[in-house]
Amino acid sequence: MILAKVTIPRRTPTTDTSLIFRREAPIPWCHAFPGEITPQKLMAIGRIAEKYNLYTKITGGQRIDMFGAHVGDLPLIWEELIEEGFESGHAYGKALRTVKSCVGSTWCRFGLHDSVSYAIRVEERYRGLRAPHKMKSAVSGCIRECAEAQSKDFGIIATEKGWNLYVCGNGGSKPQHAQLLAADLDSETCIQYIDRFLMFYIKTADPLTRTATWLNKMEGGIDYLRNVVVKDSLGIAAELEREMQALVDSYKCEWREVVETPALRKRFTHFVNAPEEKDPSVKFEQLRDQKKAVEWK
Amino acid sequence: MSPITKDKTNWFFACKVEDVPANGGVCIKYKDEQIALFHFARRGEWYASQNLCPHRRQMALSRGMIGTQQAEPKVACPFHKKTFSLTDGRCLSDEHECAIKVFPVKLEEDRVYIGVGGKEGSVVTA
Repeated sequence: MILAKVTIPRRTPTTDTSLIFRREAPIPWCHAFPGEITPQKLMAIGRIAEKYNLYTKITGGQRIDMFGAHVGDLPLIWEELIEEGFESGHAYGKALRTVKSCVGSTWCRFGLHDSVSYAIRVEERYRGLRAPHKMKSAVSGCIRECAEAQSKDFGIIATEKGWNLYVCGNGGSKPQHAQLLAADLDSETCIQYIDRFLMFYIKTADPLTRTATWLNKMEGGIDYLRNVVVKDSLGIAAELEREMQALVDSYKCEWREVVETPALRKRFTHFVNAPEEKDPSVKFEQLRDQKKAVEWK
Repeated sequence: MSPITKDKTNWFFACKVEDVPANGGVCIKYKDEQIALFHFARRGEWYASQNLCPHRRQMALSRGMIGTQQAEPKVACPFHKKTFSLTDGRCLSDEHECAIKVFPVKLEEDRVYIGVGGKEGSVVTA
């Protein structure tokens, strides 16, 4: 199925359906750059979580989860997070999620290249990108693969000569490893191929289809995909790159937009006709040193 | 012979039309109850139901995804996607699930009113 136009669809109540409500209150989900965070930012998260009484957890995607906010507090929480330099992690969307990283050459004795810097570059390029389904990525600094790039929709592993690009890996209930698309790429070419690969996926995959399923259904499989992306067998590479660049250029942090737009901000209330009131059915109890929602049954 | 029932619909002012997103829902507070109000903008239709999803008793239906199933308006709870008809409240995705309460909605210019009252209008709490 080819989408008619490559624009991020205007978000309506029905598109961003992955919002993790998780018992009474949506989570703010903040974004710490691929696994790297300064002491100052850690303290900011701690201060904000404590102020708003949020449950905090480190995620598998090297991010920080904050649960248990009242919906009316979300714009306030995000205003403070944005002030501290955070931005939306798009956990609620069929979008790019995390770009994991291993420590890499800066601090690891095995690191061939600076995987953290490259992961940050990749995440900053594709953050917020909407797609037929969620996308996860990783950059590993050597073959030991501490960032688990082979289980990602697109994963990058350092080699002596450059980067290996793997695609169409998925986790979940039927995990499947990514397959090698191209080897020993320089940093620019790797990004170029990712541009083409992602845009080809966005334009041709059925809705709610992860990359592994899309590849499994693709006639010609990885060889066909390699021909299209690397050898430009369909002659669409330039167009795909242009379209991706247009999306990259139009990125805006969605939570910042909410915080700065009164019309969007006022949507974050439980009762539209009693905006100051919190949801009376929300109840918490203690577990270890934090809170959890009271059992629903 | 069935008893004659009087229409006891009590219309209360819920909110303005502009307060409800196009093709989405909001939650209305009515006394101690929570009512989900939906605007099907493309169809020009309004529906209302209890906010409580009977599946796991979460006040979430107002944040659900709306759509139609063979022209019947429906809402899917964002938690586990239990889907309910907005005409009679029955669960469309699971025949063993409880139905939800639905309420009539009327508009007067830009003001939205929801009908409660009598036996038919009683609302479900968490």
